[in-house]
Amino acid sequence: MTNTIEDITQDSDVIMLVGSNPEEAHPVLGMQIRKAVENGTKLILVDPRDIGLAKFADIHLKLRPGTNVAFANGVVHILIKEGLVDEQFVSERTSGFDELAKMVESYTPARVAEICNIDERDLIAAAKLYGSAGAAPIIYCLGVTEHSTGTEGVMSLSNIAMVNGKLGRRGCGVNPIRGQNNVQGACDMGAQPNTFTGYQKVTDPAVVEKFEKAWGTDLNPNEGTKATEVFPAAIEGRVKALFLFGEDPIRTDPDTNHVIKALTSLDFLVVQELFMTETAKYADVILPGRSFAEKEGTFSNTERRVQRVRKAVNGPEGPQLDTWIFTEIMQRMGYDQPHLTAEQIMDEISSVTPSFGGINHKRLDSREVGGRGLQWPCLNAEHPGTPIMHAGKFSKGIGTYSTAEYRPSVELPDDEYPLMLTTGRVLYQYNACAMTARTEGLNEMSGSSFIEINTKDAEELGIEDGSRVKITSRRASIESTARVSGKTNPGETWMPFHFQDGNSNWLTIAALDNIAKAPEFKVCAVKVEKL
Amino acid sequence: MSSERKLVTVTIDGVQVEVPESFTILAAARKAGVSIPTLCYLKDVSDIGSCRVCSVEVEGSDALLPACKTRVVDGMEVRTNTELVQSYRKLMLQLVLADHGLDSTNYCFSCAKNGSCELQSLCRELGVTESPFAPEKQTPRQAVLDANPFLAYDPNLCIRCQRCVGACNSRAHNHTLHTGKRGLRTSILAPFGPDWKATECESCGNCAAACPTGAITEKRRKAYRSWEVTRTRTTCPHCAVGCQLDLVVKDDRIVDVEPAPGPSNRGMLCVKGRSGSFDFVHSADRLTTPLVKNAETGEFEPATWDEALDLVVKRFTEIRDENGGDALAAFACSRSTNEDVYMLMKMARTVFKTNNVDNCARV
Amino acid sequence: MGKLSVAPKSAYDARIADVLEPYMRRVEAMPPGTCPIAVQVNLLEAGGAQTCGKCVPCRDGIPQLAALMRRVLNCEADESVLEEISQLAALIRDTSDCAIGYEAGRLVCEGLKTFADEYESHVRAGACAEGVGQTVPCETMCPAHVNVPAYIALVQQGDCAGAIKMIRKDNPWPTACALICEHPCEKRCRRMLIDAPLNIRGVKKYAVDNVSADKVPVPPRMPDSGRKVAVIGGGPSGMTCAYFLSLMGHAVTVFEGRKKLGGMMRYGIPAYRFPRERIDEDIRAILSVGGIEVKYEHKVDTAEMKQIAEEYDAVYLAIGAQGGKSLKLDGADAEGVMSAVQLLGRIGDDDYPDFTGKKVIVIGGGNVAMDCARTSVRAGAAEVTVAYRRRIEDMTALHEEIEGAMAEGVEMMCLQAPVRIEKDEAGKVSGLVCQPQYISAVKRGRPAPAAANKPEIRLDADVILIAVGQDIESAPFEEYGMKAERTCFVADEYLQAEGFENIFVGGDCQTGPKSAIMAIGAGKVAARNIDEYLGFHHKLDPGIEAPEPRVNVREAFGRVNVGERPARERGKDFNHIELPISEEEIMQECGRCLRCDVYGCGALEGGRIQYV
Repeated sequence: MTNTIEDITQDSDVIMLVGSNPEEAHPVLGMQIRKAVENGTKLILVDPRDIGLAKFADIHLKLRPGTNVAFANGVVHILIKEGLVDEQFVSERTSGFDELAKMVESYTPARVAEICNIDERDLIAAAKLYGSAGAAPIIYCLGVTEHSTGTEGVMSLSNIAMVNGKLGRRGCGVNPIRGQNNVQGACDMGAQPNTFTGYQKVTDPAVVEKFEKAWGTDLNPNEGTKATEVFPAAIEGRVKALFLFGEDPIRTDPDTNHVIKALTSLDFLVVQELFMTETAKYADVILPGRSFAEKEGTFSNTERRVQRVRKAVNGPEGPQLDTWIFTEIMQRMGYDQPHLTAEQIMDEISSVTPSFGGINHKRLDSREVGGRGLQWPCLNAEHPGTPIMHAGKFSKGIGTYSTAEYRPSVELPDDEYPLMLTTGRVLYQYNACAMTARTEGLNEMSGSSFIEINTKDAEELGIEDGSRVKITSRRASIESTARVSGKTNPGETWMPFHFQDGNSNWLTIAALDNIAKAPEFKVCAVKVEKL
Repeated sequence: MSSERKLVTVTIDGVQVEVPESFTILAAARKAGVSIPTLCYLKDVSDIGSCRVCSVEVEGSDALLPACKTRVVDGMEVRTNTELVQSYRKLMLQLVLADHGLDSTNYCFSCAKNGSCELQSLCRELGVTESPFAPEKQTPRQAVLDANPFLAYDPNLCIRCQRCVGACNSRAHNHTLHTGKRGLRTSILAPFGPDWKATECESCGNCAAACPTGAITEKRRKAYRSWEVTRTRTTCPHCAVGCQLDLVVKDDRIVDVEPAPGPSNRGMLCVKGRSGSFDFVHSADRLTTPLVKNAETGEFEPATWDEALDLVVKRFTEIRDENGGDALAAFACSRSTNEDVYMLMKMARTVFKTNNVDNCARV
Repeated sequence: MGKLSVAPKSAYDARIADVLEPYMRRVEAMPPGTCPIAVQVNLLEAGGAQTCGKCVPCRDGIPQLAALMRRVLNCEADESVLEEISQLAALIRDTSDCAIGYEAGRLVCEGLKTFADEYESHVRAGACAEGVGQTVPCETMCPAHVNVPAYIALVQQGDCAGAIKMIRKDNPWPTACALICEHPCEKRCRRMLIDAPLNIRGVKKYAVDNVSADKVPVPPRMPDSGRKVAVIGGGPSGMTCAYFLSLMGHAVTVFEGRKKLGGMMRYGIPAYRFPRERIDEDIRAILSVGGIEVKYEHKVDTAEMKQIAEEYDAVYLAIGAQGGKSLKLDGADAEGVMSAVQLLGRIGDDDYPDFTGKKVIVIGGGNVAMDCARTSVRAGAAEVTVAYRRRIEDMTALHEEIEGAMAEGVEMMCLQAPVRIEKDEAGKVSGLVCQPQYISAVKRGRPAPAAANKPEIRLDADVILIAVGQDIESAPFEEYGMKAERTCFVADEYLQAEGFENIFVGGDCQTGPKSAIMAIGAGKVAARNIDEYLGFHHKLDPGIEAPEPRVNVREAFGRVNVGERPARERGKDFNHIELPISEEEIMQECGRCLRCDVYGCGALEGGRIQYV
């Protein structure tokens, strides 16, 4: 997020919420958005479903999944047409506006409405409402990123904020709501094939040199392969051994058959886990690790806020701290890595990461920070952290626009697979349920697979609310229970991916975003039949 | 905005303080170092001023005023501890107590909140041990609503302070917990009854966190007494909002979670954070020993740490040396800590000699 | 015989009389949302206090009945208790010696029927029915639910423009309501517990007299939604709906049958009560939102209604009740006989009648009759007489209207039922023959007249104005297919017309002739629901907040009333009859407000009726 939850829910006149269902996926943020909206903040909802917030939305653009780029380009088109460009911001802080303007010229409201299956009048009204607001954040989530055009979708949304000058101040910004507790941190910590910690590039020789010096060893100069591309590489035999730390791709990655094929193609698979997950079953070695309640450390939330994790219990006997395991392997593979406490590790992170320069456990625990964490960039011990990014200047200097055109999703409905399937989360479970399903009450609240289907489609297919149905994509078939309503548009269906009794990821497609390589969880083609 | 900035001078029990005009008497008293007891008031949750326990004398006012919701004005002189104020306070608590279902079946010692009940501690503090008033409670005792897996409401213990209502409606904005009327009496319509599934209640438990007595409770509270536990402040392990919470620990087991006032959650939690963030820690199916797959049988067999780690090291070294580091890959868990991820990343780059390191941000 | 004393037998009676006055005020101030069984128990217990202690049913029955009813009130009783109550109440009603007993019993018996649903809720569900529960009196009683305490506080702060903004949040007619509202908001004003209801209309009048409404900018209009809504009828309801819809960004076309906007506020209410330049202030402000096109003198017929319903995304039908009801009297066709609607309608277009030297009779006892009578005075009539079947106290006109008319020289001929109209050879009206009445039994809650055994009387008349009610001109729309019951269009509580998706209907044409504020309230509801129907949930920003409350002033004061010009002066012209209120008066009046939005139930969830 460029901003904080506090300022975007308290100081905004309008909220533009795109591909995000915070009431279920990020409930405590959802509560704060509900509060904002009840207090008069206007809500533009851009989402293919009638999610709970739809009943509060001033305008709901119930667009076809996979058309975010067209939507965003259309909004920029209208902002330009309506004279809602922040000329000063555009000229002082960005470059390439003319190319952008040229690109969006063909994104007339009529054309965008056609692509997105929305009413062009609503698109115009939404653009004007956002564009004329004093302060308005764009908040988005996986409904934007989990597409074959995900990165372009994100950058197209940024175009809107830049053109309209809504960046770098309270109640504005472009705010991704990260999916998991420490997805932000995992990226910050350099668990990425192309960056070290703090987004220092693997391809920058100076950076490599710095890390080689700090770590006292030679490093591989090649940019690595992204996780989602590792599976095809494994099938092709290019990747032969995989160390999986706390992931369950069989449940969470698209096209389960494909994942299984990749895992079984490996020569060696290590899984470090708390539980015997679906994926762990395919491992050669399983190493039992420790949960968050058994260790010291930090998580970075979606606001870039580094907050403490503290040890509350010892936990079962037998497992080892995860950092102990990594250190042991490093030592046993000949690298002189001493065993460090979490606090010492953070000191090392801080020493090699400029944006974490002022972050350490002692400071996080101090009276000065007062339990509010520190938001990076936090350059040194005196730096208070950065609640709002890009104030006065973009972190990379001058802002540039994406000129990505709309491209349709990879797999669209056809005669054989006439319905579009989108996937997502429900309030009561989390991802693969490894943690939540071990709370019986949550399973009672929501414990099994279902598919939302439009009333009209259901009628044609003879499906009633509660019917057992078979859902088939080009990749697999699963069974689930139908929930019939107007929540999705005709021609569109939706499933949660939590439940193993009908996991939508058997159906989803492993088509990847051309840049970030995130899979297109949000669009694939299926057929649904009554059982 | 301007009222935030404008300062006024007030005198509380002889102590003069300068506070913003937007302050209540209660906030000003806090600044003056004067403590005024409260019961129904809960900052940011409810200031309806129903219990009147915080009533104080204000010079020039013919009535006592509730400190929790009365704004200060310049030159205000407040007395918080006069004989009148004290006697009213006591009387007020006695009235509340008469409405608290303290009959033979439910004395404090059987209550889940014993020891952390605000009414109990306030009565202790003010020396109220019993009520001279006839109980207002109706007979037969009202049924406890406890069909919800996590939450229960015992109307008999409810003192109708309506903090739960504030928590649901003006904090969580769920609007599923309301008040109703039983003639002249106000009742709390808590959605935890047999039809709980049909309600829109999200079971977030913010109402229970707000309840000063044992009326609305997390059912988990029954498993421990307040003096048996310690609390550890940490960050919720589920979504990326980063809610701050306290893990409540008894005998090295987490028995409950309480919300903490973090910058992003402001004292609120959701159902997963409150009720689904720790059972797995003590789950009986936790892996406790390294497992190595027997190549012959395909079955996992327990191994020592040395055996398991040496095997991992051997195979990764072999494959690395044979095919180069690019044939190895390591994925980090985006649920784990920064420190864990950093060390995995370091391991991949320094000893696996690969940049094939990633996390589940993409999925 | 001993000595006689002049002292009262009980020394307390005089002192009790002092207590009864606040007692009655308290009863009058019964908060909206109170459980009816609580009221019934209270009433019964008041009866119990009055027993002389002689007879069993009253002396013993009432306390026993009260105890049973308390159990029901507390939701501790089952249906068998209701049966006991029913029996015991009937016994008290049927066997008591005097009214103290039998009236108490009768009220309980009737209550069991009137509030059967609530009794059932108490014994079956163990709770009051949904919706029982106090809400802030003034804003609840106001059909448009205007945030009254907030605007009073704003006036008290000297922010009249802010007060107008606050009123506009729910009602774009601040001037109209300042001048002619029936002010139902004052009916249950909690201030009555201390002295008297606040003069809420007076406070509003002070605000609009100090800052004219058209000088207070309306909130900015939301971006164009691209949706088109037709509003048929430019009266209080239609223009309210148009105002809110337009703020939400919808394009509104108003079809107005007359030359000017305002509906019955212009064409039914005379200028001396609502000066034309003042109504124009509100209209200018409403139109200043932009996005409202008005088609004047454009009556919609069946064919066009069909076209509009197809062409527009939604329609709000608010044609009011613009037809004058006629009386089936012999001679009603005489020249010089006119309906009130005709007379006042012409004045709305500045066509003032000249009644110089004429004798005018007005038939009717409502506000419109008073309007006609007082208009006639101003039109130079030599004599103006109101002929009415019942008594003055039975008139439906506001008390101050009747008093005003009388002060201006209008003669009230009560208990006179018109029988026929006499005309001369030229067909001109010459007189009205009436049958004297006497007031008789109460029917449907109102004393009804009956023909008295007295001879007919004849009153000279040059002009007869019939003000016995208004009609809804529903025919073209009924023909189009809309449902109406006795010409009132049928709609659900959300004002969606029965049988139609995109047609909403409200105001007088849906309720029958009622007040301007009811029509305004309906217009607001319709605008919201049309917005929802169109798929939006627009929130409007009023641009003003309620000030922090001050501590209640508990000292009792008299109520400040709005003064009027002297009757003999004001009767000569059509200028506004009311005088301005002074600042010191209004500050005292505002200071009496108890801020029920903050103190008492207003602080509770569900204690208010406010929308964003």
